Amino acid sequence: MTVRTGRTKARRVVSMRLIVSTTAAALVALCVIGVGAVSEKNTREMLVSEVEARLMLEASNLANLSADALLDDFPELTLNPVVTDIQEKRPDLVVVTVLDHQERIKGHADVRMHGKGLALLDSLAPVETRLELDAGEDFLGNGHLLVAAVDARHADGQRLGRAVVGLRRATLEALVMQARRQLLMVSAVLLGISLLASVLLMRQLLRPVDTLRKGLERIGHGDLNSPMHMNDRTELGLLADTVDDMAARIRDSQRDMVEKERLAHEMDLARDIQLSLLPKTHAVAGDFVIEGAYQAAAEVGGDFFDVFELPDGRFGCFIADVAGKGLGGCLVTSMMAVLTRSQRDRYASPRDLLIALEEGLVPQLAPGVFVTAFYGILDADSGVLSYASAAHSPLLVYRAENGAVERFETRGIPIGAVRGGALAATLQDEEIVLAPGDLALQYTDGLNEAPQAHTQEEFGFDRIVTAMTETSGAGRSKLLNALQMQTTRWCGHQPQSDDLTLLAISREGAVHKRVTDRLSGFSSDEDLLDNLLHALHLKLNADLDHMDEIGRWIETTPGLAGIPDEEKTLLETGLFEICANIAEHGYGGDTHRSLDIWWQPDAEAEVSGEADRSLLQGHFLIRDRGAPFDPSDWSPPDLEDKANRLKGRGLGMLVVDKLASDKTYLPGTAVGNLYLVRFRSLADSEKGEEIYV
Amino acid sequence: MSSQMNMELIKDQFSTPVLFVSGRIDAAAAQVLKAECAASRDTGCQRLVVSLADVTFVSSSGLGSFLVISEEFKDAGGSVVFAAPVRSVRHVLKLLNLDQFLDLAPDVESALDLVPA
Repeated sequence: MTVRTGRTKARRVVSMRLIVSTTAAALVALCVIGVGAVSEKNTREMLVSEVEARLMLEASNLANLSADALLDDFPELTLNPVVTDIQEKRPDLVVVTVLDHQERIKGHADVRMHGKGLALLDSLAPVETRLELDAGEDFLGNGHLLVAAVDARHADGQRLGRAVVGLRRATLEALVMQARRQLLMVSAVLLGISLLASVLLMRQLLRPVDTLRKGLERIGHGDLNSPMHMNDRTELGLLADTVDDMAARIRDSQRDMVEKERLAHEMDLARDIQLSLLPKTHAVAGDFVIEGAYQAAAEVGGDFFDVFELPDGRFGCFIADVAGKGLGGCLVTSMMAVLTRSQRDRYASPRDLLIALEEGLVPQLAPGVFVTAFYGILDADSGVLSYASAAHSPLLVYRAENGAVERFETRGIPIGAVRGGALAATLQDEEIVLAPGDLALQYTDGLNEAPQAHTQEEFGFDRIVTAMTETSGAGRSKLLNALQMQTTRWCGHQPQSDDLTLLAISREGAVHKRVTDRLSGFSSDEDLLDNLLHALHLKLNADLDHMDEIGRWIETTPGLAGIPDEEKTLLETGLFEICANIAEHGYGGDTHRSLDIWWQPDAEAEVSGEADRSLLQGHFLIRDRGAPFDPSDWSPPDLEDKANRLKGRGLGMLVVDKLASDKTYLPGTAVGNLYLVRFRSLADSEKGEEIYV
Repeated sequence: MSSQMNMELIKDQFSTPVLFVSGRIDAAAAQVLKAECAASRDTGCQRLVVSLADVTFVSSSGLGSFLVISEEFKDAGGSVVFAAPVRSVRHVLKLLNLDQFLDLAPDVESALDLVPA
């Protein structure tokens, strides 16, 4: 039989029914033949025994009948009719004779034999028999005859003669053959019936195999909606039910999977939409830098922030958290983003914008959904940040003056929590002033409420304050990176449960402003380059094998040559790492490119001549024309993780980060990527702690 | 070329083999240093002192190689001590908190004391 199964090629199969039926039939035949053979042997033995017994019985009867007659003078007269009668009744007996004690025939059907001896006796010899012979009994035979001879005795035991009865062996064989034929016939009939029954039974029992195969083929072709419903009471019926159940479960899980994929796709879309609403880069307002960071939770959340310039030149900083995750939260976030953007230019007061947002949002919010929001307006010239907060997290401000972190609680209630104008009654504009070096931080509860993996302890305000203090003066990038890294470590391996959004308003731009002022002061690129050329310059091949030129340049550069050797080494280390990073990543290892380093001593130091020779008073400007690299995108390697230690990589920027006291990166200017960096002196930064174990 | 690093492994003079490194450890030299230490470890040497007394400059690749060497020795059940770094190197090691992950000693003698023979 040839069967085509699914995508596989056609294959020859041997029918299971044929195999099982044939095997069953062969076994039945073997049984019947075996039983027949044994029966035939038993029958033969039984028949022989019976014939021998009957022969002996005939001889005994004749001997008994003859005993009295042999005492007569003429026994022939009595015995002749007896013998004749026996031979008429039993024509198969070819020998029926009575002999006297002298072995002369006294009883015979043929009277002419009377008085003669029985010649036959000479050719006879005893044969094996199962009969138990008594004294005076003989069982004899030759090639043709079987003969029983029994003594005829007087009542006193005297032997008077003997009766001899015999039949042809052929007669016995004919009887055996007849019995064998009957046995064979019965066996054949039994065999036939058995074979037929086994074939029919197997056909019937195995009929469901076809149904099963077809059902499985249907499932294989993807048809999960046609159960077999096989009404079979054997194990095959049970198997068919199991297959039906399996198909139903596959169908259900396929449906679930499709549904999950659809949901995941929608979630991805929602997340894309949400991400597209967020600012792509930091904003610079005077010497302020405003930068946000967003770290999405596993599920789409409802965080949102925005930074924008208002028509009056001030900058708006908006951050909000919708109570509710998933698509619902995302939709509210999107609505809020659109509303904020459409309304923000109309309101000079943060409070008024939040009230306007409530008016726009509340009709759309489902009961129980509310939003906390903070809106600040920064006047970069005066450093005044006016803000209002609808139950959003407290504003934290790092003060450069004393290194303290101030916390400003808010009074408003969430948008949508209590309807009917309650928000307006609780909101109020507040004002703070941010001095140079100060940093204001806003955030969503994904930060302070981030739970620790095992204890579920929240990250809390104290850790935020510590991070702000520790990164003091190092700029908003450092703080944002530190907070994101610390919360990730705090949460361990558990998936982030809530969005984490940070918004830093940092008055860090002293260096930044100097560069931008410097750059904006030049009328053209040539003008800028002319000016830069007045600084002390090194043109360096972007070749890691030639970076030792930096050390030689430091040795020969006025203002640098005189500093202590250890300072020079540290300086070289810092510059080396910046240049190596540019060569490796900015130029992708192209050693034919070049980069420039300028050393610009501080004007004050040069003029006053009061420079402490142990301190570095000036900055380096490094210029390349490769792919821009934003240091704020970089985060230090976690060396607590052994895998990172075994890699031994990623330390270059960490070295720069630790050695530099001030650094500004200006990618993609008209004259290339500019990196302005000021290094700490050894005396300034050495902690003096013992490093030895 | 900037691979101005030299190395000499002294095995017999001390209770533990000491690798004297001198010059500049930049990216190329860091590879050579790692290979030398790995070779030493592969020949059955489980403990090693690396003398940095004459190392004048260590790049971030060099610092990275110190971490790799240290971790690889620890993995092999051994240990490595970096001895006598100059002030600038010591400063960078401290700034990066690498002293938490490296065994450091002020001189070779102290380093030998730290490494059980």
